[in-house]
Amino acid sequence: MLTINSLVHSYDGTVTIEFPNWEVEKGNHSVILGNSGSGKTTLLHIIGGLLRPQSGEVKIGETSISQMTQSSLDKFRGINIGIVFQKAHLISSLTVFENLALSQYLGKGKIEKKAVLEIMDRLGLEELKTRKIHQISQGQAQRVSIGRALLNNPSLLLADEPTASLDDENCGKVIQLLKDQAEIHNSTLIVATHDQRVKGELKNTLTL
Amino acid sequence: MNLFSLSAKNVIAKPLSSLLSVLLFGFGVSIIVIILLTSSFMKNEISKNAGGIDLVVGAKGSPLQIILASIFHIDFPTGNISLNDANNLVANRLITSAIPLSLGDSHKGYRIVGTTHAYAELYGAELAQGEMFEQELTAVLGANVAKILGLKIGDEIQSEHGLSEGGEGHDEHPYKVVGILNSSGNVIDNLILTSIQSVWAVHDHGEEHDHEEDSDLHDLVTLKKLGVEVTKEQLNEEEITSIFVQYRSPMAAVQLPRIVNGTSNLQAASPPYETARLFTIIGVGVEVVNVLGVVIIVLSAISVFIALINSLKERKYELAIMRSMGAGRSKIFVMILIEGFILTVVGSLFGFALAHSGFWLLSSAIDQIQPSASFVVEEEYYVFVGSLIVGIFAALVPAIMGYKADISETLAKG
Repeated sequence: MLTINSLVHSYDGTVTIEFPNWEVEKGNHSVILGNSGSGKTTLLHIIGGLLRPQSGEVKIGETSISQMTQSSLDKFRGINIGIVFQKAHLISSLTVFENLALSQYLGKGKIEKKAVLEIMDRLGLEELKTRKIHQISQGQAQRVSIGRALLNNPSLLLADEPTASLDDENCGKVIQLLKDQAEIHNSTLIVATHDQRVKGELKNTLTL
Repeated sequence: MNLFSLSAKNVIAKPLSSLLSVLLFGFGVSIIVIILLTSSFMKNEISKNAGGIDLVVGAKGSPLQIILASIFHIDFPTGNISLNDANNLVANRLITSAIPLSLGDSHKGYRIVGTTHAYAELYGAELAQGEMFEQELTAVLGANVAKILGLKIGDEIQSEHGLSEGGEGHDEHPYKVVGILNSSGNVIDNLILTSIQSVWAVHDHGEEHDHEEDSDLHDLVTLKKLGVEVTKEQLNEEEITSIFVQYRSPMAAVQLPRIVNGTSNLQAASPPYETARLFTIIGVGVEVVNVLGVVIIVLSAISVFIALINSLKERKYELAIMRSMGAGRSKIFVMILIEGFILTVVGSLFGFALAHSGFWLLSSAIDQIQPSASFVVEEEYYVFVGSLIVGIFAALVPAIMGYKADISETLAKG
């Protein structure tokens, strides 16, 4: 599913960081563990095609994304990779529904209303359809961002520090939610975090 | 959902900042357009009113004043010329025909013009009702005069001395309205036409002419080119204000003014030359206000630029997220460009609406012109396209910044 091979990244061309080789099987939800500054967000961005490595290879399925042009990489990411960031960063000028639909529009180029309503229902967001972003809670916003990442049924679901500011109870709930939703959408989940609590939830671990 | 609706929603999401950009842009555009409208309207009016008149001959004085008084009826005449001098001049073979004008009286602010039927024909004015003036002390009203003063055929009107309201009245010689003209959209709509002889009769303060022994003074002579029939006495003693001259050939344009100005009492004034001169005088003011309009447009372009840059800063995570969701760089670029475009198009349309309604208000305040908000000139098209180009340039830099933004760096910090 995912293969990382002799990956090297360089910050501003001076500090370089080497990543260990790693492989993730389809459906084997995994975690990248590391302290602040260990490069886990960097690795997640490289896997997600948001950042280009200095050298090395990232393969998602049979596709080597390191060789792609910028525009085809953007397109590939839109369809095959869903990313949940630490903060939700929803589009403030749009409603909850529109935020979700935007992901379909940007990823696939067309909107399937039914799929959007389905995922809203599943994430308990059906009441918020026409709400603006500033009218919903942080937890709701995070669920919208999870829905947004999964709408296009990506093969890979990346999550950057999804539990950073949560208590134990909610931490467990969010990881469970991510896992469940990834299963439903046939996605493989990879969480990057410094949060040791996540370790117990996900078996396949890469420690940086 | 598409890029355009996305951009539109982004614009609406910031109502105050968008409103400021739109207002500024609108005011800049409206200033330029209203100047354009006014000057084109004036040029239009002038050519409409001065068409078919090759030369105006009046008493010595400012040629511009002669034009303003005789053609546009907005200034005072330079004085009078003797009918005899006028008749001698038009005998020249360079002149095809001439229309005599006798000005100086008015009724409730509307000028009374003593002239011939040829004057109405010159402006293509036709009778809406009644008949043309034939008898002494009969008058034909321009369309506006009849409408605004509520006059109808058979009414009597007093002429007042002078061209503004409240002049000394000629109460003992009222005019009888015999006809009303159709509106022809030019200066004649605001005039009261009568015969030259009527004007003389009004000013003839009942003095007894003691010419019985010299009876041939009452013989009628026809002044063919002027189109009037007068007595010998009138030919020798009466005066008119000016004459409109029509040339026989282009050669006359060179020779005739020189001949006229060589005659001691006469002054020639060429409508195209004098109106061009008038425009160079007004032109300086027009330039200044135009520059003001351009300055405001540039300022508003800067405001659009700043509004977009600011919203870009606020939305940099949103834009990065959109990229992460599969939006290519060019999509972000186009989206920001469309945002700028929406602001400038709306601003520009607002400016055009403002200018046209302003122009309408302005022209309805002056009852001598028919107000028209739909008066459109070709140059407005250039103003519109130009304002859009300015708007696109204002959006270009923010769009490039959005295009180049490093999404990984932005998201890692968020």
